[in-house]
Amino acid sequence: MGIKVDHLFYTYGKKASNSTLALNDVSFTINDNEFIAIVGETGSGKSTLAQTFNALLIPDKGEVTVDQYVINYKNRKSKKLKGLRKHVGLVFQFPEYQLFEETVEKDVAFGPKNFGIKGEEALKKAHEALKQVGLDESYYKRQPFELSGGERRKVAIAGILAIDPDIIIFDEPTVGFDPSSAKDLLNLIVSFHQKGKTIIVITHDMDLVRRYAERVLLLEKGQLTFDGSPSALFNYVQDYDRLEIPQVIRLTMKLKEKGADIDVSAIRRSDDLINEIQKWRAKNG
Amino acid sequence: MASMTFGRYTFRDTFVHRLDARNKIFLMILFMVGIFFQFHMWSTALVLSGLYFIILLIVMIVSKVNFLSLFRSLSGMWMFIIILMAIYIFIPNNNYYLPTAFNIGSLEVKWDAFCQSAYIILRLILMIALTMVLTSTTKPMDMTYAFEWYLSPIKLIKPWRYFAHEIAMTLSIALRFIPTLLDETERIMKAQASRGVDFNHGGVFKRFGAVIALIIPLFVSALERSEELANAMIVRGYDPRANRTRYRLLRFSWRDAIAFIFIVGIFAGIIFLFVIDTKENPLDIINIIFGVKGF
Repeated sequence: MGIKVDHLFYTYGKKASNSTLALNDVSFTINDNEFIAIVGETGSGKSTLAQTFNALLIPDKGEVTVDQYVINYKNRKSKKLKGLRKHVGLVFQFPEYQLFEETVEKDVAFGPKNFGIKGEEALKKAHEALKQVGLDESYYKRQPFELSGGERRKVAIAGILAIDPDIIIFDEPTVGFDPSSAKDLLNLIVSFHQKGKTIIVITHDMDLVRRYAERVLLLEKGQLTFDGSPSALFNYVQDYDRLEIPQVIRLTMKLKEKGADIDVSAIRRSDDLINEIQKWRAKNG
Repeated sequence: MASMTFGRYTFRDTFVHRLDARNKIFLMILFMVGIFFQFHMWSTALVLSGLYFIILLIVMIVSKVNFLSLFRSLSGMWMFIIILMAIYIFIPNNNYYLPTAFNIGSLEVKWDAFCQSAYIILRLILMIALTMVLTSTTKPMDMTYAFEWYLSPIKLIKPWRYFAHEIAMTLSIALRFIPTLLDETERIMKAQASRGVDFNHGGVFKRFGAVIALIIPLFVSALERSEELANAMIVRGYDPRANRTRYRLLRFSWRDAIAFIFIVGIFAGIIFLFVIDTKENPLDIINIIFGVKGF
């Protein structure tokens, strides 16, 4: 299931004198089963954009089309939009703060229940989702508030997974995580992608973009200024100091400047660079 | 949230803004008490209400308070007005001064019912407007300082010496965190909406469930936040029992004296009228001013 974004405008505080234009004429299309990263500075409109995808925010002008759902100002009050949220799951930043039930399984089953799945069936969905995020049966009956921050976040993500959306949006999923938990979480996200879900990740982490994203959207002050592959992005932003280009990419670029014949677009992780250097050395004897 | 503009402090340099917060609170309470004196003649109540409105209008113009936001906050009151009218029409009362307006079956509806509810609504509007003038011309911090000052007699009781300061500190923190918690509410509402909660449609039970899903996370985060804040304060050496000086001082100036004399004078006048107004010999302002018998 894809998303079509057509000339989107959104303004915060329309009536107030200090209104800010958060989205300014943004258009693009997301295809089925893509892994997309949305990057940009704080306040560039990333989260705003993501929130229009499941109609939490209604654009002032322009429209978002997801499957048969059309989100625009005209049908902002449509009851159908709730059904859209079954297809587009949004995992907010620090989702661990949305838990409220007394047991983990009940909290995860809350989503499916809201979309009309009955008790037993919803619990089954919850158990499946919990298994996917790596929480076993011993967690089912525990209280969410006695878990650690990382476990709570996993429960919250399972809460979205249990709804079984086709498109999952993650807003800064790894913020505040230690490197190994972050890696676990990213592997999890990649596994969803492999199961055929469309993944959209909002992030500041360029390493994440380099390793996993198939396509990157760069937002600057509410405008879409770049849409393409990660390596093309790193080329594009070379002298744009607000985005941190990953070390490996920087090294590769420097090597290429000095005359090494390496394809920057082939580099996704550090192993790739080693391979490329070895290939290049073999070629040059 | 943009909808919370009602009565929010807006910086302006006016006579009312410069008044001492302690004075402002005192005078506001005095004015409100004055508004709630009941008179026997409708014409007297009407004339005095008009007078209050004129005073309020002057205060609002002087303090440059936004009129529009007052009307916006009143637009939610129509339900209240209907209920009030129904109560006065259907619940019998033997103090009628005015003729019958119309009959519903065997029930006589007196004009008093309408006057009575209109009078209450007028006074409520006055109260709301007064509070709005106070909150939009006084910094929340000054308000808590004033509150602390009013609680200061408690300091004389030894075990409660620090009570006033602690209450004021708690209040100021509570005020400071209102916008933060509003943001938090919006965030959690959106997160739960992503999980299929519909806050705007559905029956009572569904909505109740939706509110639970909002309130519990909100409490959890507020409690966690308070703990963090307490720790941060302790780490920086905050001690509620320390003797402290203050950066901002509340001062009683000539402006305060003028405002004080003005409002207290009006209050004294109202008390005078109230005292000479008796059931046997009700005060008739219309008669005094225009020489025409009032009602």
